[in-house]
Amino acid sequence: MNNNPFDFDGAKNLPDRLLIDWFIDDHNYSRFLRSSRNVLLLGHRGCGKSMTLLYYSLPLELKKLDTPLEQKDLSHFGIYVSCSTPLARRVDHDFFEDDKFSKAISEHYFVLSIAVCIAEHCEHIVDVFDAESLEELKEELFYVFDDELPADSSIFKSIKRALNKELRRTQEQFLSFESRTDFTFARTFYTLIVPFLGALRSVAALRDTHFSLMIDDAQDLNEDQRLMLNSWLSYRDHSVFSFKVALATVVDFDRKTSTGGSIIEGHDYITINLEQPFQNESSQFGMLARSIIEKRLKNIGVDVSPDEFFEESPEFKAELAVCWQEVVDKYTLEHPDAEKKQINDYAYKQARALYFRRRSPKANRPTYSGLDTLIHLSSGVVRNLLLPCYWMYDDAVSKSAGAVVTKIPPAIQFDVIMKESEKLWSRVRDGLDRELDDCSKEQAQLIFNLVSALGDYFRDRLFNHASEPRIITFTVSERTTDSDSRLLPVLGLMRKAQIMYRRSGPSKDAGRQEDYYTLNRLFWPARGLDPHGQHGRASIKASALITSMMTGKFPTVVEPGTQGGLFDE
Amino acid sequence: MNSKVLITSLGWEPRFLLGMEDILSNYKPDHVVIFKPSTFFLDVVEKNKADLSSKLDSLGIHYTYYEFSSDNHVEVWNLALNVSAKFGEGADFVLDITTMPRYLILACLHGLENTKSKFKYIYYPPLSYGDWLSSDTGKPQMVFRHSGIAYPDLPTCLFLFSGFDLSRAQHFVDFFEPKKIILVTQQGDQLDNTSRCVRQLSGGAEIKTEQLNAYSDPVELKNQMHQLVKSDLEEYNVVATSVGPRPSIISLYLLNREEPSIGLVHANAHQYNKDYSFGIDVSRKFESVIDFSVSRK
Repeated sequence: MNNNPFDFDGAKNLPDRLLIDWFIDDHNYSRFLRSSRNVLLLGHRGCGKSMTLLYYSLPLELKKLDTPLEQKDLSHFGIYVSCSTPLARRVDHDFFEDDKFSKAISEHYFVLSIAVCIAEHCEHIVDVFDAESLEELKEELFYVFDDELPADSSIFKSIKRALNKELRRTQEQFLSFESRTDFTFARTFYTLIVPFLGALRSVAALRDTHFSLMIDDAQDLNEDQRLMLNSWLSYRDHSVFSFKVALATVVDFDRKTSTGGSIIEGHDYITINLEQPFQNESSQFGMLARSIIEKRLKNIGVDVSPDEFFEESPEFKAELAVCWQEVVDKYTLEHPDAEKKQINDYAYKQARALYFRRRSPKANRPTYSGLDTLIHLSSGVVRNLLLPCYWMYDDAVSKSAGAVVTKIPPAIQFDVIMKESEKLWSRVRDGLDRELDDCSKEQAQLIFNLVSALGDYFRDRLFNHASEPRIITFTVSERTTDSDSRLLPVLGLMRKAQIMYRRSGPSKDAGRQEDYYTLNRLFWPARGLDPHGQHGRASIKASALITSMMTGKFPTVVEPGTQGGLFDE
Repeated sequence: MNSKVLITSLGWEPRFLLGMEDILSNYKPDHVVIFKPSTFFLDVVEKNKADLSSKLDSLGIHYTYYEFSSDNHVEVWNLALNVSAKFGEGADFVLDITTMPRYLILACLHGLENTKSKFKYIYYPPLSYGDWLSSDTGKPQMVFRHSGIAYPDLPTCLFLFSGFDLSRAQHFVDFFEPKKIILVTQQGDQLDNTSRCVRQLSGGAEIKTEQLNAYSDPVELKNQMHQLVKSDLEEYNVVATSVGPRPSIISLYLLNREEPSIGLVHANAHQYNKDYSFGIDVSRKFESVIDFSVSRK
């Protein structure tokens, strides 16, 4: 096991105890996971979806408290089902190009996988069933499995074995050279899972239990399985089970069901978006980020605060303090009656901008460092936060000559941040078509153009805008059907590649909502710009974004005279 | 007398035509089967097609082009099966894998196994490679009929024959999130990375690294692969792939033949460098014989 406390990958590979120690069950709405509602957990890879589901699954719930099994709270039974298994990747359903067959085999594999997971989870609590319950279960389950089961503590092992045997038999049929396979015996959700859970609920220990079927990586299901899952989500009776579905996607969730209907948010399910890109130090994500770092440091016995561990460069801090004071002095002089809040608001917007404006173009890059900077650079994604921390810790260990690492020097932080920032630019420059399935070469060029132009735009803004220089978020104004058709697919691809983030925010038309976009803040250090944004957003005309996309130049930059018309905030 | 059939795949790299020249200089097939993927650099491919046709016409050799779209895996698979079935059992096949996409190699091997064929395969390395090669960015896909046997309650072990660029391997690791990785690289190649990159690749997984020679006897290579993986077969769902030297894919197929529970997986490259490779190194031509007429194991 890696000793780096900022390991950011593979929640599924973490030992249970470490996962319990590392997980922060605050600031992220994850308590909904214990409810009896259908919950859709959305977010990019690395947002912590698997970790959240695993944390609320039964095996980990049992390990959280050191109480005897019979005293455990079994009112919620989380069953973790991973879809990123080789079984879920099979393409047998495509082989005969037969829709009916495809649906049947897809459901068969999916429900058998769920059933194996249910049996496996039940093995953890088999000791709470008395002899009478086991006998009852055996009777009930006979009708589901059509097999004689033992009425003792090996019952779930036997069920698992029977299900795996069935899975093996099915898969073996596809290894042979026969041209057609009979598939009339396929299992379905309503003939396997519903009665299985019903049988479990019939025993005394689970009479009031709610089962959460936690489907992780649902984006890896095949199309038939996704439609089926949506149909199951529309199952209204949540007295016995509900679904908690984690979906790593940025494209709109397809709400269609296999029966041709659709599911409705709020009615059939609620959504938790784990991607919170517009954070600041005091936002939910800011607090979560701080807690994550704090907990991980504590776990390796480092007793310093996250801010001390990721110390901000003292030179940078001092220069910033000078700028702050200068801005405050100037404002106070011009507005002698200003209140403290007004002065602070002004300094908040202007002081960092002044620092960046004042720097000589020939000067070295600012020493990007400090916990706040890391939080801003993460753009609200846990993986983006932990990845640079991981490499910083790794470098610090290499340079520590065996001593315990109790802080990461600003120089190491700076090096890693610059390296990661340059890597991000290289990715976009090399072309996202080389990594995205559905991105053409032309679109990759449009994306590179748009990122470059937006970089110029926000640079220009930081250096020249009078009132809101540090804004790094934008909305799209004066949209038309034509501009949407050109712009939105490109923005969609950028979000998929995690170089752009989107959230919904209030628009200037009272009560309405609109999409706020921000580029991954890791772009800014390589250009010597400030990854710390400010509240607020620039409203950019769709036509200006399209021009940027086509030419790589933001119109206001090439045509300064038109600036007034393009900023309409 | 058995008919002699050469199977190849039309490519845009210089070594495609140069390789065909070399093959035809001392081997005269009765028929040449030319697969023609309809995706990349059609201008070069069309020119190569014209040049090859004219060469085959001048030699009086029959030939057929089989076009297909590499996006449609069912089509590719059925095409390869139909071709091997058409020429039937008993034909003497030569399989030129020099510029053949990996999924097509696997489909051809399946077809040739289906007809219980004994055949020779040939691979020509280029003189050098371009500064970047391709991006295996499509979703990794299990191979029809060779998807192995997987169980939902077992963790995944990824057996990966990697090239020198680990970023292609990363794609598979991200996709399968394996608990264990067996990372094989070509003997003599220096990995273009540090141990730090290998650590990053693993994503918390246990990682075992080994160097093997993809240009060795395919059965011997298969046996070495088997040694590496056999102790994991009970405890893991094992999936295997190669993004390393092309001949390694043949041994992977043989490995799956010996251990059908190991699933084979591939990912279509979404984009290739037009300057993928330069020239041909005939002196390093690799060839070997596979005999599917003998029973498994």
